[in-house]
Amino acid sequence: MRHDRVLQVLWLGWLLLLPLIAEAEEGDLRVEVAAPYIEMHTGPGYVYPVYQVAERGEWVEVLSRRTDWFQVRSHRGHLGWVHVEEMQQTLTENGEPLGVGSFTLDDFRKRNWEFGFLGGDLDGAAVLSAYGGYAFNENLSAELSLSQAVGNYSSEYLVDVNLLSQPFPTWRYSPFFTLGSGMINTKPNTTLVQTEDRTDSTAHVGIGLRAYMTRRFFLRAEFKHYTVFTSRDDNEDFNQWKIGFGFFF
Amino acid sequence: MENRIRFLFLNLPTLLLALAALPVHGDETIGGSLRTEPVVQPEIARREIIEPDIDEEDFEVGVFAGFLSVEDFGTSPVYGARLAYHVTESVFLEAALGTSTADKTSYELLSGNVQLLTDEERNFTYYNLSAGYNILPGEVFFGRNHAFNSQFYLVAGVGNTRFAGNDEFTVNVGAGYRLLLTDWLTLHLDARDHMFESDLLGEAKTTHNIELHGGLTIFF
Repeated sequence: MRHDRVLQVLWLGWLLLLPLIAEAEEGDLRVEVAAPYIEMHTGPGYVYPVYQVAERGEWVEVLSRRTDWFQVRSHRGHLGWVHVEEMQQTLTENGEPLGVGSFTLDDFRKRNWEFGFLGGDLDGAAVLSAYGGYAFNENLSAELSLSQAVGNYSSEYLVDVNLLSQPFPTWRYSPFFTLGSGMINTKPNTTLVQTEDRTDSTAHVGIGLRAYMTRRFFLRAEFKHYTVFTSRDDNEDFNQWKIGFGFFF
Repeated sequence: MENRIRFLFLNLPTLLLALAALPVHGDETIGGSLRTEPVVQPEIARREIIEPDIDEEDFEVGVFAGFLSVEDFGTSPVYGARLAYHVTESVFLEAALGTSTADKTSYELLSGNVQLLTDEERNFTYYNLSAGYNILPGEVFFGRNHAFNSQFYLVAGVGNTRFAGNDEFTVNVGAGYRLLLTDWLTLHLDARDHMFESDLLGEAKTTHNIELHGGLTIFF
């Protein structure tokens, strides 16, 4: 019985891996060099020496891409890494320039998904958070974030769902406004007097800025004001600011 | 007859207008019809410009195992996982998660039966988000026929450590060595210092928890 289970898991794993393997075998995009020559480096970086060139009219096979570098196989079977600027001077089998490029501000504007990590301060406690967001259009997106704040007396876990509006999506430094709600869980430190854990709901409002850097990468800074709806008589308020980076897809 | 006259008078203006318009429009319509209906239909299929589907391998994921020296609590095995994203050829971002079980302090060892922490509190678990910079890239040669790319890197970041039942904000700095065994399989050797404030043994101090580990990662 146990053996069956193991076999099932292995079989499932194999089925899941199969598309990846098939994709790896499939990837034989061939391009023709249109520049006088393209330089093939031994590694994906300018620091690695050029050890082969592919001349005009030669066909090379494109295997994979790492950052701005493409691994290619020349018709003599040599493997090397070519920079994106030189790959743009190659032609596909249709005779068209290879449509590759670095990611640009325009891609950033058209993003659907974004993920990021931020760090900062929550009322004197260090806070770290991870978030993911989906853009419905250029102006409006929804986000889910998880944060942990570590203070001297307690640590807090926050889960937030928020809507985010970006009035100027074309700007490289693009401000945004956000509104959301969530939960906060407060856990006192064990070295202090024992008080019990508590979980409360929160609402927040905030402003921030995204700054597109390079490739799939941007910086993000934000300030949020939280209100905690406690079970006691008074609600609590606190401020949080964070700065960090994100990727988009 | 009457009908014919009526027809003529009623339709004359229309007819005249049509005649007046004819010479002007006439040339154009003839020329136009020649242009819109080419004699030979070119058989050109519309080209679809598709962005080539090239396998992008900017992410690196893997596991590691090694030793962690928890300040005052001896040295014990540590293991964990890491995920990195290579932003450029030099810069990468890394998220790591590691866990270990702290040993006993020398006081606990000497005094026999004293237990400062429960077994559960001895769990040392950390996560961190770091940025790395590749320095000293190079090639390593094994024999005459094999060359492997390699890099040293410097890395620093922030995160959280859960130890002795408390969460501590942790800064980590370190350096590592990456050896690319194949284009997708990478061997890592890494040294990190996890620093956090702790008042566990009475006075508040910055503890340095040094970790040495080796790991394997794959690019995808």
